[in-house]
Amino acid sequence: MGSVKPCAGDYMLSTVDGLGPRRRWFPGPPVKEVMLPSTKDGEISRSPDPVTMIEGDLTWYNNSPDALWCHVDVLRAPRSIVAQNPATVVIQDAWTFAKGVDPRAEYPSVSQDGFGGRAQIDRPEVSAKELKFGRFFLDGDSSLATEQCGILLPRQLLHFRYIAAVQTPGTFTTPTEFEPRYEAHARYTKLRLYAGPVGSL
Amino acid sequence: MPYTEFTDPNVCIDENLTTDDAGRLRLQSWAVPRPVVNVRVQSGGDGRLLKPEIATPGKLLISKQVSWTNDTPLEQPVLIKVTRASRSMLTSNPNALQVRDRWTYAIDADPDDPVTTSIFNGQFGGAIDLGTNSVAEPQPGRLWLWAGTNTAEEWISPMLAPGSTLKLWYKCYVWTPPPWSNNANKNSPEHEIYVNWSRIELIAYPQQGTVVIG
Repeated sequence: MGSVKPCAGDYMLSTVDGLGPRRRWFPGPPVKEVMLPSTKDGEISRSPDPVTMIEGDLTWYNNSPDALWCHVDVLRAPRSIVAQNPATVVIQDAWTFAKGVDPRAEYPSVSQDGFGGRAQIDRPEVSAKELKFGRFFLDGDSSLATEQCGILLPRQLLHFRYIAAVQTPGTFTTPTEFEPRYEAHARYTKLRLYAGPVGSL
Repeated sequence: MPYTEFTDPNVCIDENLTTDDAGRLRLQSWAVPRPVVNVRVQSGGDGRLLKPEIATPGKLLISKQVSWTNDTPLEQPVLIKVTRASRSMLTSNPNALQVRDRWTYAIDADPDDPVTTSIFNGQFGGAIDLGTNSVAEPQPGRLWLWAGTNTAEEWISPMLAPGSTLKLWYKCYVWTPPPWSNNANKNSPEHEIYVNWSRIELIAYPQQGTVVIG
């Protein structure tokens, strides 16, 4: 660092070879990506409380001398459910994050976002052996949600947590005269962390 | 006018910088993210389904190929963005409809045909099965579904070398997962699908040059 650095501000490098933007000046591909597969795809049973399908986290250390804008893209795979009259099947997910020297994101409460449904062709009080036959199949597409995490200071960590769970809330009567079918497929969720320049301060 | 061609005699600055006639320092156009392809492709098969499509991949709704050649002196990360328009469908008890889409890409070669039989990127669809009456006719019942617009993204790998061409092929199909009933909705079958359009974008991202590293 003994030489004079002409014309080089933040995000610029001036070396014996010349002048150019520093690597972290460029926005671009994710600085970190994690793939979180579902561990509970397929048939499910009555679940008044959420049952975890996908859980995981992402941490990243800003090992650069520059402050960086961070955002995490949450990429959810196409999802599918099968629900038997009169039950509901819903996949819910949520995420949290924290930044600092030793951050710990809170446990994500499962109510942020949801996919699922119900087709009810009986009154809710109909008994198990009187239930009509009815099944509902639903396929939803992949989706991408962006969470802005703000500025990550140099030498600080970002901690991002994600959870997806399946639940069968409300009326749930298991038919006795035929075989019911309840399924949930969350497949996977990818977390992609992007870090880009803040600009000269 | 800035010099947009990168030439070796530009000493002391790297590939992302240039100078204009007055000797002032300028950023090259490729020093920032650039949208290099942006096309919206209309579905060619929206509306009433005239026959069952119980064999995958089914009826082709959209097929589009795009490409971009890296015109910069640096490797470029490229982001593929596929935006699917809002979709809607109508089906009759007990038949199922499902839309699938997929894209493939290759560098300096032709991409594989993106048929959606076993691998696919996206799906939309549904069904209701309400059983049959005493003479084995499906009960009356229809299902309408709507889904909102969404965008999917993929970063190409490896990065696109200078002079190389990225080719991408996108396809969208509708099929009717078996079994199929010809007298759905108590002998009044109605099946409709609308995928509207898909937008395909390629965005080239900047990279640090090779002259000044750090």
